[in-house]
Amino acid sequence: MLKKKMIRDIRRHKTQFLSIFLMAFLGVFVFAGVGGESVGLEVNVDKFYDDTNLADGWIYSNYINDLFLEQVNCLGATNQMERQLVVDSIADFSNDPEITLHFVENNTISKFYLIDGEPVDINDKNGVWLDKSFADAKGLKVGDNITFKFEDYKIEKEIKGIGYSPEYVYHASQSSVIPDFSKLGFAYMSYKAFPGDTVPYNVLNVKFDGTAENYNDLLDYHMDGYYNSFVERSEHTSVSQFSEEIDQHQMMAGIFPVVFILIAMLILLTTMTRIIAHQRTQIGILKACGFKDKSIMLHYISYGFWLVLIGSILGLIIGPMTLPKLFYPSMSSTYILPSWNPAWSMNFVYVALAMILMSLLVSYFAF
Amino acid sequence: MSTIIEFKNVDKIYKSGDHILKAMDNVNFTIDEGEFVVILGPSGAGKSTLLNLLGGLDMLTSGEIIVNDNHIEEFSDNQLTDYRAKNVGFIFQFYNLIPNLTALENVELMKDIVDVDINGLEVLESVGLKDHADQFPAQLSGGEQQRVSIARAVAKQPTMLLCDEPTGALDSKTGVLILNLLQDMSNNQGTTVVIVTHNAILAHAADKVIRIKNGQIECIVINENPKKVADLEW
Ligand SMILES: Nc1ncnc2c1ncn2[C@@H]1O[C@H](COP(=O)(O)OP(=O)(O)OP(=O)(O)O)[C@@H](O)[C@H]1O
Ligand SMILES: [Mg+2]
Repeated sequence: MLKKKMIRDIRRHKTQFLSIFLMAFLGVFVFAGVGGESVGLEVNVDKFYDDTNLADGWIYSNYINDLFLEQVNCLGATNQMERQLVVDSIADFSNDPEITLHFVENNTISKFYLIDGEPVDINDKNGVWLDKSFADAKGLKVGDNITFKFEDYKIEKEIKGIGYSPEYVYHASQSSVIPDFSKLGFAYMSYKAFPGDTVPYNVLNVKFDGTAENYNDLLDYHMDGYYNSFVERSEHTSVSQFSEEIDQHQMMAGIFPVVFILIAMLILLTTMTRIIAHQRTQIGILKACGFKDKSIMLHYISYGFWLVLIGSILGLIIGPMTLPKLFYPSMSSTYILPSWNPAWSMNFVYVALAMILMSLLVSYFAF
Repeated sequence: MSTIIEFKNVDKIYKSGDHILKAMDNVNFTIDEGEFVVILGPSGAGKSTLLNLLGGLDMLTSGEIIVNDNHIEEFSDNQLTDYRAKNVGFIFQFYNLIPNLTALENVELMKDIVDVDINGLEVLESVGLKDHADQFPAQLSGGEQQRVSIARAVAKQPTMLLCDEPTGALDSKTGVLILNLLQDMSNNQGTTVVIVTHNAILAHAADKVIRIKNGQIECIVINENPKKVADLEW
């Protein structure tokens, strides 16, 4: 029966309680929505990095010969390595697009992620595996030919596969932050496709144990002078740009809900204080009838509890269902990932629970 | 008839700052089961104080209050709440209904606190309000509201009904109706009814009249042949 009283009381103060409900809903909605989006990005990109065995670090040097490999291997911490020749080229189109060519030795680290065509074949001298974004922008298909010019060379290759690379989740030219995929791209080829006699490898992709800092110290100590620079994963342009983006989203997921939740709690506090002050006589009646102080308190606490509970459950469901869909389309015009799926985190539930607990405390305080 | 309520040397002292007020001063009386008792006395005499002590809404300063062989003055807060829920039906001057609940819901609200099987409509019928079951307090007249609060009080099937000026806010015709109803509860259902009133005429209808003044018992009169409320000259 007290539940009926509660529902009618809430209806009488519907503006205030609607605001409480909406703010509680929005708080969890944004937290779980943007959270689902950004956690999703994190999960998707981590899976992409794992699937393609993204390098832990890149050693740049002009002398990546067998001796060099031997020395890097002797560092102890090195688990896996593979060298590449990475050169800038101009593809043969009217807008002179810049294509970064990767002549790879094995395709074992920072592997090409195939979407269409056949897998990378190290013995294939004529094939090229092309950036899907560039291929799409130019209308190129598997089986088409494409010509690259670099240094004094001009090579024409057949497109054997189209796909992604973990090193190009974010790829923008110096001139613009937002990538124009018709003007730039990347391509993977076997080292056997290199037109010269010997391949002048200039990058060594490495996977190592321990921290990047330790590895850098090892390199410094043992190989100072033999290499130009070392880039750890978190400093890589693509990796760092994408993780900064995730950080920004997570900050947004952190700040907005706090504001909404605070507003919800403030309205709850003022509304309940007013209702309870207004119902002192009724509280007296209930006590005289024999209602326990505890039941009366629970009655008044339940007003906020139910609204905040329903608001947060709806927020938990609707947030991750809608907000990622809103964000991902614009994200995918800047970043290239094989999959865009929102992800769930128990943190969403914890925040909802924390807010529900807060509403209990606020109502208790008003009583 | 067996004694159901006993006040033994009851004192109640209110202190506010240096000011000390003896609202109950060595009060002694007994009430039998099913009695229709009227408490009379001038304003400030301590009538409400007596009723609140008996109903467990207030704690005495010294003495004993024995109800059904239990010492109320020794009860903890929880026991007092339980005592109020099971033994006491309060009826106040102002009808004190929950404004957001209908007449029927106000009565059935008592289901939340006692294990008694309550048929709200039946109880409302017994106070002649079956047809008003779905009306909210604001849609009822004062007399009707007071009848709802009586219905609510008796629904719990309490040992006693404690009424503090139940007709104080009603016109005399409606007042008679209410008092008649209360007398019936006592005569027909064996409920002990204690009524505080300013109206001395009601004394003729009481089984027992307790007059108090300045917190002390002035006299206690037992009527061998109480009149029917309806037969009194108002
Ligand atoms: N909570 C309290 N604190 C201090 N004094 C009180 C309190 N309640 C009652 N009193 C005092 O105790 C005395 C008795 O009060 P009580 O309410 O019992 O009188 P009453 O007989 O019911 O009067 P009335 O007919 O006007 O209702 C009064 O002098 C009153 O001022
Ligand atoms: Mg009084």
